[in-house]
Amino acid sequence: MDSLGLLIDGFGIALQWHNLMWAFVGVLLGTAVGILPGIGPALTVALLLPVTYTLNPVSAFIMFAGIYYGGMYGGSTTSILLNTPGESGSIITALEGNKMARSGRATAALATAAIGSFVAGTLGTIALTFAAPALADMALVFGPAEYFALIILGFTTISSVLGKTPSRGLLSLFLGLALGVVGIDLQTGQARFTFGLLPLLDGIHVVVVAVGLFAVGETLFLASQTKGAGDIINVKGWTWLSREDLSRSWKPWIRGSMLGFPIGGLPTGGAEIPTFLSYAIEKRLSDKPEEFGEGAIEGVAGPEAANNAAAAGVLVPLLTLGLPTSATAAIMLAAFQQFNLQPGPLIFVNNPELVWGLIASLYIGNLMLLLLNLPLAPLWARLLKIPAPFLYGGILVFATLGTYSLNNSVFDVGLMYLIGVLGYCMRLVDVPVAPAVIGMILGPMAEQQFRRALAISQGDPAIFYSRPISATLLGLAFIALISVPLYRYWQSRN
Amino acid sequence: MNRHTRIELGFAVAVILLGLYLLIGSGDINLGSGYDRIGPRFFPYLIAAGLLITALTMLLESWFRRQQASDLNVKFIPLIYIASGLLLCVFTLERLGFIISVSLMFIFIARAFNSRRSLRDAGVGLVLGITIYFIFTSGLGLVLPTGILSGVL
Repeated sequence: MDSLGLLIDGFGIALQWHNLMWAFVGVLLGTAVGILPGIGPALTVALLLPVTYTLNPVSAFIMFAGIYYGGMYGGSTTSILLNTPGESGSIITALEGNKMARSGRATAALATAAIGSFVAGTLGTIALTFAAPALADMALVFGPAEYFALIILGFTTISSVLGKTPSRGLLSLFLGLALGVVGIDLQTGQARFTFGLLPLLDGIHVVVVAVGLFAVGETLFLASQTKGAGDIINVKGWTWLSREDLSRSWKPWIRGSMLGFPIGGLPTGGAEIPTFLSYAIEKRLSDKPEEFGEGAIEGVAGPEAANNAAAAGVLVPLLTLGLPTSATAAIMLAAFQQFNLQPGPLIFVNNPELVWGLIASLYIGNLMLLLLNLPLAPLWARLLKIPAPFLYGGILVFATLGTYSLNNSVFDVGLMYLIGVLGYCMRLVDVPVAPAVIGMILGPMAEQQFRRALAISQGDPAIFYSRPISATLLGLAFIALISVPLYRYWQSRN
Repeated sequence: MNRHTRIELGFAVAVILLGLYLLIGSGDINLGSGYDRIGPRFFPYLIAAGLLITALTMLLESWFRRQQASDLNVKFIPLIYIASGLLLCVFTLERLGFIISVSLMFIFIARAFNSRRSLRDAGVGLVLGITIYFIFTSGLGLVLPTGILSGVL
């Protein structure tokens, strides 16, 4: 059956009333956590993992997808009204959208962001519908050596792009890898770095690490900052676009989507790159380039669309290769593992109802988000008025709840707080935390594939460089590793 | 050398020590038996090397840029409040139960964010704790510690 037929089956699943309800819960939660500073989709999905143990996996993933897309919509609202980008993908929106809001054009900025997110999300989901099965077919030939090479490529690109210097991104990655080693070695059954503690034999759960780094680390960091929060811009009335704003917005939406999806879909990650590219292109193409930096609507429309299309793109390597390229995708991978599902080419064969139900729900969730965000933006903006003491107190209560519920263990809670302190130190010294989360979940997979590949080749390392796909991927990883420092060195000499 | 640089150097040194620990500790991992050619020590060695290299690079970067580093202003008192709240929560979670324990933590976190009305915060924390408790235990089937309230809940 072709993609279209499978997608129609997917709609049959996603349109069941209880799945519609989970999608709605997801987009509501997603929008809320996207707006609230200090929480994001990665943390939210991590906190909900223990709660969804008993849920049907299809419903759980439909909710997670709603949170994932909803977080993007909510994040742009906060960037525009408060000028605090929640994630690197909305830096540009904060730059240009906040300027618009300050000059009294908040409703136009919110509208172009919301509609642009809808257009890009829908175009991205359409592209996902057709690209994912095709890529999954190609990935069927991947053996352990190819998977290992692919993970190494992901490691090097994700880490060297994030962070002030490549060494910091890589340091974060290795910290995550080290946390991933703790526990019983799957191949030999030997305990590694468990310090004789029973709860560590099963390894450290990625939820413990993600919640510690994101919730506790962030709370500690914000509490210790001397500067206060910025001022929030009030919005009143309906969010809508005038005819002129619409005619200035629609091309940037489409161009942004076309940039965002392919770059976001690469196994190298990097949702912020298309937003920067889109901003540069819109500035060049605009009749009024002088407006850029002062609140040009094209500078919100294009990057927002790019950001959302990239979010759809990230799902391609996640679903077809099992390769997460963002922190949220890493947590979603943990969610798949919780339900004993392994994303990759076979999931399209073995669990079509899950994959296609999920993809169909992305179309539905996008429509729900447009309807929820366009007229109700002023209402959502009120969430920004929750006082900081209550907001962060609440975040830590939920962090404790989610972590405890993993294994009903106080040990996990204590470990999560401790990892939060590590996260705080990393924030202080500009070491990004996302590579640690990705390394923690992919590290054990990399090791397993590496050992499997060498078992197949009977110990001959040539398996990695004599097979064309794996050799190419490793070569690209090497180029990524050396090109960023070389480029910066070259830049500093000129 | 300002505080920011000192913290960065301290962090890098701490990671170097961690890397050394991994390097030494990897040698103590039982090899086990079986047909595995690589064994359980290889990856930990690799990670230890990675930590040592990246932390050394960061150390050098911070050292050579110490002149340009912008200073860092950190308030310590909020950190102490949060740390106390977390410690209190971890040590009382099972004895006092989820509701009381997180309410106590809530007061400390709120105080770290400049709230001076601890009685009000206690009320908000208690309402939040009770709401969460009932939604997640009765509604979603989780088990949360009841502690000293076990007779009531």
